[in-house]
Amino acid sequence: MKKNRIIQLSIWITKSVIAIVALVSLLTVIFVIHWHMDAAFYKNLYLVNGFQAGLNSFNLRFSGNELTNIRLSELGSATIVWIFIRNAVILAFVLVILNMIIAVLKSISNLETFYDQNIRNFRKIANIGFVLTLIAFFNFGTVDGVTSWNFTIPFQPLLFSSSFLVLAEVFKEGKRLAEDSKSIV
Amino acid sequence: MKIVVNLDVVLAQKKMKLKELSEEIGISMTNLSLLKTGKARGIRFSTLMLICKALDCQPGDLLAFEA
Repeated sequence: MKKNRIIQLSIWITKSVIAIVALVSLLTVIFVIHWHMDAAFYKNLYLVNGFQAGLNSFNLRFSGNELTNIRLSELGSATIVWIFIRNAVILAFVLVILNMIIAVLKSISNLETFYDQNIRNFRKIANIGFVLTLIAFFNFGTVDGVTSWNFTIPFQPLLFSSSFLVLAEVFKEGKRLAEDSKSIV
Repeated sequence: MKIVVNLDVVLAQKKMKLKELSEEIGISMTNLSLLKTGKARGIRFSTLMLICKALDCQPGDLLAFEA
């Protein structure tokens, strides 16, 4: 049977993103270890806009406004570890989500579209999205003994979760219709 | 209240087996069994027509309403 090209392309793209996320995770680990060995190495690297809440809170730049950006070499060890843990958890969840998406795409590619496992995967992805929403809600960091807290309403992961909940319901309805259709002789 | 499919009755009257009917009209034994055992949720007109033609009967011979 001829394979659906769009599904195959989506699988390929998702696998590529997984590879990139895995690489970023590895670089993050290397960074944390190296920072502890030689923090001064990062004196020209700035954390842009401080400790932002949200999912994309690790923006780095090689030059920066000293008022809003923080040199990585000035951060304390605890803050570096917190940044690492927070981003590691986010990246881990993203990897889990991407692997589930690949499982769904492969299932659809095998014409097993409206299966219970796909519905369960969509619900799990939505739940993970809600956890990411909680993580993205806040962030904090300490520089020179001063701790700054940041909060935000993370619309992106919230909308992402809602979308996958809707997808789960659509596939559930699709399963019901497919079963109805199968039992019509 | 339900619609009852009397396929087994008509098959007996015409002295035909389910397998023979399946081979004649090209519908799988599985699907015909669903029909015969009342587990089918519906029947297409095209299927009904094929069965009636093969068994030389009317749709009313196959289907009955049970209150």
